[in-house]
Amino acid sequence: MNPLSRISAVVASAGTGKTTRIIEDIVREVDSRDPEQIVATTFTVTAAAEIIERARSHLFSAGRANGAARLLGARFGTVNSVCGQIVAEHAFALERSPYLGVVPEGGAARLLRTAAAVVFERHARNLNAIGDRFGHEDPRAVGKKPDWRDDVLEVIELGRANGLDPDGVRQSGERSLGSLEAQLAPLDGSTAAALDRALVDALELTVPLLDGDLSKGAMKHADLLLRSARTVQRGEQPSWPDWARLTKIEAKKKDGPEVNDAFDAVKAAANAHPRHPRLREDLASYIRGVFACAADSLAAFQRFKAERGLIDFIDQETLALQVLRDPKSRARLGERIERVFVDEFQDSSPLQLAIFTALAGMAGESTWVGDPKQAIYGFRNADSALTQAAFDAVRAANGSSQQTLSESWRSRDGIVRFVNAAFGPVFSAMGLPAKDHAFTRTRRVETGFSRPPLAVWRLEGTVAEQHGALAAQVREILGEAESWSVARKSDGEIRPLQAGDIAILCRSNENVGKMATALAAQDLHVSVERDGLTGTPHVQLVVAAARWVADASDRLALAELANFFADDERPDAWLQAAAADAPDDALRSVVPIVDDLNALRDRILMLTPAELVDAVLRLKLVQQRIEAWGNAGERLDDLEALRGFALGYEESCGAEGTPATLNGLILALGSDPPKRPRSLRPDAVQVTTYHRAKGLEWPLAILTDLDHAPKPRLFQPVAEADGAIDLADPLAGRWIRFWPWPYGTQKKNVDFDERAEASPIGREAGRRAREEETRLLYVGATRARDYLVFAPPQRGEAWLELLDVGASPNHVQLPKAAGGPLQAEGLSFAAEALAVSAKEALPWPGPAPAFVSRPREAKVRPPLRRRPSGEETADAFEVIERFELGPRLPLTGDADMEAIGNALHAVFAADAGGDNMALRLERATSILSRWKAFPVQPADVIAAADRLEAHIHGRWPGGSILREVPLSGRIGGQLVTGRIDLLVAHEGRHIVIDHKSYPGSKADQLRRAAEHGAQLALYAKAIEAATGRPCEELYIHMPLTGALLRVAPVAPAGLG
Amino acid sequence: MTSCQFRWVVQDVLRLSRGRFAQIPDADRLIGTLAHALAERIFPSGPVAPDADIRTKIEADFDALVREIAAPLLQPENAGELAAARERAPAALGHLAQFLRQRGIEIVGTEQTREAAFGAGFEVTGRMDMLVHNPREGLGVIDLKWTRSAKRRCEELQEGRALQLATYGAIAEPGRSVPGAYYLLRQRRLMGPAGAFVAEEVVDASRDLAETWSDLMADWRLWRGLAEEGTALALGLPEAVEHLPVGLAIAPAEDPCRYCDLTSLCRIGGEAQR
Repeated sequence: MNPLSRISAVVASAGTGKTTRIIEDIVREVDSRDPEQIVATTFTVTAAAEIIERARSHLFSAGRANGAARLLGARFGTVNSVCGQIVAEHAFALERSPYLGVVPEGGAARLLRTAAAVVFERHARNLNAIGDRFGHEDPRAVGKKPDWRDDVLEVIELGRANGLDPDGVRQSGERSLGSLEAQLAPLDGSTAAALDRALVDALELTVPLLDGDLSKGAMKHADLLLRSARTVQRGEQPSWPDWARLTKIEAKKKDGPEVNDAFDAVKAAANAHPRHPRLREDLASYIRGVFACAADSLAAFQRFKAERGLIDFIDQETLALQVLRDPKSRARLGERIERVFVDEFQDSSPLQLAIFTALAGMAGESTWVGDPKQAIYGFRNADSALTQAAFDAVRAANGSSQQTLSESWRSRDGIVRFVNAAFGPVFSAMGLPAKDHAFTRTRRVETGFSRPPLAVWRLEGTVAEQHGALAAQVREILGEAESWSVARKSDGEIRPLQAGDIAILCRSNENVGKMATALAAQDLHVSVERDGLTGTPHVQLVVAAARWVADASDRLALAELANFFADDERPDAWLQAAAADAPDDALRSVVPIVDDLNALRDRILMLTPAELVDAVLRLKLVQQRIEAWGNAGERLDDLEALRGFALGYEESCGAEGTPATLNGLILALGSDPPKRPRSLRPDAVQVTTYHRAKGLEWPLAILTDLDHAPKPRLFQPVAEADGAIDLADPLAGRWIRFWPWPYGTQKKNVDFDERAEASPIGREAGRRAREEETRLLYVGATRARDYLVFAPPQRGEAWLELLDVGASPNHVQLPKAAGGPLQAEGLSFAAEALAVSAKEALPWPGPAPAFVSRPREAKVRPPLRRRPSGEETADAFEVIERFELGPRLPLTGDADMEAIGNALHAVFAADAGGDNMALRLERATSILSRWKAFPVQPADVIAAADRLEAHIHGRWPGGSILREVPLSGRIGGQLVTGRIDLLVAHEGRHIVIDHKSYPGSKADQLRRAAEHGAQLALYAKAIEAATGRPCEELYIHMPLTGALLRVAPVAPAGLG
Repeated sequence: MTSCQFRWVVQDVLRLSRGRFAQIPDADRLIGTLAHALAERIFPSGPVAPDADIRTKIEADFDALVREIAAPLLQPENAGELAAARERAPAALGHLAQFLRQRGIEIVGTEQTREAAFGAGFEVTGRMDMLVHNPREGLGVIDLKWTRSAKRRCEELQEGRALQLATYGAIAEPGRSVPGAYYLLRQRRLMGPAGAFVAEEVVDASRDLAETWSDLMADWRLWRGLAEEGTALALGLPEAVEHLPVGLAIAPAEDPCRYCDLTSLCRIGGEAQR
């Protein structure tokens, strides 16, 4: 039987109730099989939690509490967590420890760099040099500078997601090189030396002319010409971007024929760069270097993790696949996995697809739910072509039948019809036919809306003004909210639009930031994750306090605190204090939390960095101060994000094996500044990227950045596949292609750009990019419930042009500002169209009234756990009886008293009087030698044990002796756990005896015994609480001195 | 002071600074420090040593210096930077040595501290990376920079804002403005204003170093006078422009808050967004 026939593929278009469908299926499955046999994977922890909790809620509502409880035993989670479970269960079969440390997602890259440092160093010289010639170090206005190490890391990550081992990675390098060579300009037989000479000659001719009176146009190239001339004079090569720049120099007519001829000579010589043999050598050497470094690093990384018992997320998947492919493990697992659900299937990486295919071959039935139209994570290693092929293969195996969810529960009719018309043809051309992918209808009703669901707002003015224009328009429609009625999701009730109903989708994080700023200028609250958490006064206050706790010499922190605590009457109190004769005292006098912070500094060694941040936040004056600034909700959100960052810092330190310190946290806040979280206010406009909008919906969605054009991933590492996809082995024939870009910031007119784009691989990359951008636009258009607004900029609507199929343009036509319908596929859709322009920002209305909570005294609570051995007490104990049980134990040689103490405890614990002497001696000898307690003799220890036992029997005749009694109980609100060395039960009461291997003088013995009184008293209290019987006699046994000492609390004065 | 008078008041007058705890510098700064230390070793007073000697000295001292003053470069994540420094620092210093030899310039000293008083409480102390001498031209100053972009230093010279060079020029030799140049180690560019014999590359400057220094002194008096009147002006605030002293010769920098850690005191950019 074809295992694919056991898979049901469900195509769920946007807003068609995919999650509901999965939950219904799971609930049904609980009836027919053991819930523990169900596996469900999703792409986020939140999604997994939603599915399991909604399914359980259904089961509870149906009175099936047992099923709901048992469903907790099912495997629900992200692909990683499910794989992690499988790996842990099969650890021995995988020859791994069952206690594997999982490297958190962010920690793997740093760990890799540590593991591969030597490899990187080996390749650094060569790759640094080529990187320089590729212009990696050139200054650039935007974006991160290229770095060969990033290329190596990307190759490693892609290689692992595609199941490649180090050899596979190395071979990918050769294939990359082979595929690249075909795209380069053919060599014309010129040698590198001849081409270099021609450039040198031309530069030498030109440079002296630069001293003359040149036009502005010619002078702007002077720096490049001089720089290039100096480089060649040093006997070095100009970088390839400089070769390219030299082809673009231009003199003006007024510079005269001599200068023009010289410039032309330089251009002619530089124009040879595409045919320069050394360009090929550099490209080849770079590719080989990057792939060799990646392959060696990958091997080093795997060794590094194996030696330390660590695995990362990709290891979890790789090892799980190993289990699923092993016949024995597979058989065992097959008994426990009967039913598999895969959500968001379209976003699977090739490795994950291999896992799902293997799971499907094992389980009785699988359901893969997804929407190929929403595959937008190509940049995160998902492969839409692969998942689409998988969907097709499953359909073919099931007799061309495929389940589709095509009724929209989300969007109004006009939106649904428009999406069908706009996207239908292009999706059909992408192999996603309308019969499977178009909406058949909507379940929404049209009553209660006075406006059509589509609108076009044309943004006018400069780029900066367009954000302002859109913000002003948002403010305007909120002013006429009654006419923009929206339907409540839960029951469809119509109500006026609110700010929180609106989402603005942007193509980049940068534009999200600009849009948020523009909205804020219109006095609108914005919900957006944005930079600048550490720039907010409330976070600065807390961090300044933490800094001063960490370092009392940080006078700046003290001044900042004084500034934050200054009142309106004396806002410059901090400045006056800092300028006083004794500035430190003066500053401290105006910071009301100085004493609290000093107290925290005293405890600094007891607190983790996150605990210290919490301790500062708990100070009532800090809370009052922050609340007094108003807008407390948002400030608390920020402070919560600070707490989260502190915990994350501790976690990453844990994963890296580095200490987490307060100063480290303060540094991390500077070097890796956290973002401000989204506001949770219901009246905040949502601004987000198209990518982050996936899975979400809003009553009114505004699509911006419609001038965006797709960029093929041609010059960065990407996964390629040979031939048709084999679903039985999705990882077969996969390799990583990487064509490095040798021209730095020179992106156009360098020959290589056009050749690469025109090549079959280039065209394929272009097609992939266009298709992914089309899907992203679909995701954007299907977020709207009631209104979908297009906000095209003046620069055009290049993104919508992706919807054109074949040669016919304008498949979708937005109306001009003057009005007219919106057209798609020749159909007209009612749409409101208008031009919007920037308006003046509103004046700041002043601070909102602040509400301050009543402070409460912080209550100091005792710790949850009490360990008797660490017990300290204010009550004094004394020795009230002393028995000499026998002589001191003789010690020979150097004694490690800690080891001897442990050894004696172990002998006394194991020694039972009933055994014969030979056995007791043998056991004692063995224990003492394991602890290397050679200074004491086994026979002496046994004799001491006998003397103690004899004393016990003599003092408490008929009493029973219990050794190493575990203790766990609750006293008040605290948990007490420990182990009592010896407990004597005698006539309805208990006696506690603790061994202490103290060898000192008699006076010291009394002191030491008294010090342990608190520990024994706590044992006694716990015994009394557990048994209800008295436990009043407490003894310290010192076998090395032969003494047994009874301790008791010192009697209050006057009662003796 | 010229970039933000408030910062000068807080840091240099009131001495408010972060405490003992110091951040580990990033790789670029470490390599810069390393290059300075290498320069100190290979350029002792006197004529510049031959190339071969310089190369030998760098090879002998490089690793020990990394361990002593730039140990974080030995961290795994800095392997690439260290390898680059191993190539670039010796090449850069070798190029400088070659230039100095060709021009017959000798080393007076590296890391030279000079003090000078200019009246009215204006006292200056500076430490020059390299003080050099040519029998014909006299003294010259070279300031070493390890920077990714040559643009900023080039613009400083063009706009007559090379305050550091101007200051060194003023204190290197009493009563005379000593010419100076920046040596950009990464780019191997030795650039200075016209007439600077220590420059390989001449930049047309709108104000020479002597004029820059004279303007700087005049501005210092204006800024100090403002502080004495009780005003500290945070130049990043948009309103600051209305309170600038009249007659400033050196216009304040455009982005004074970029690397400033005092913004929690002047409250610039406090709550831009709601």
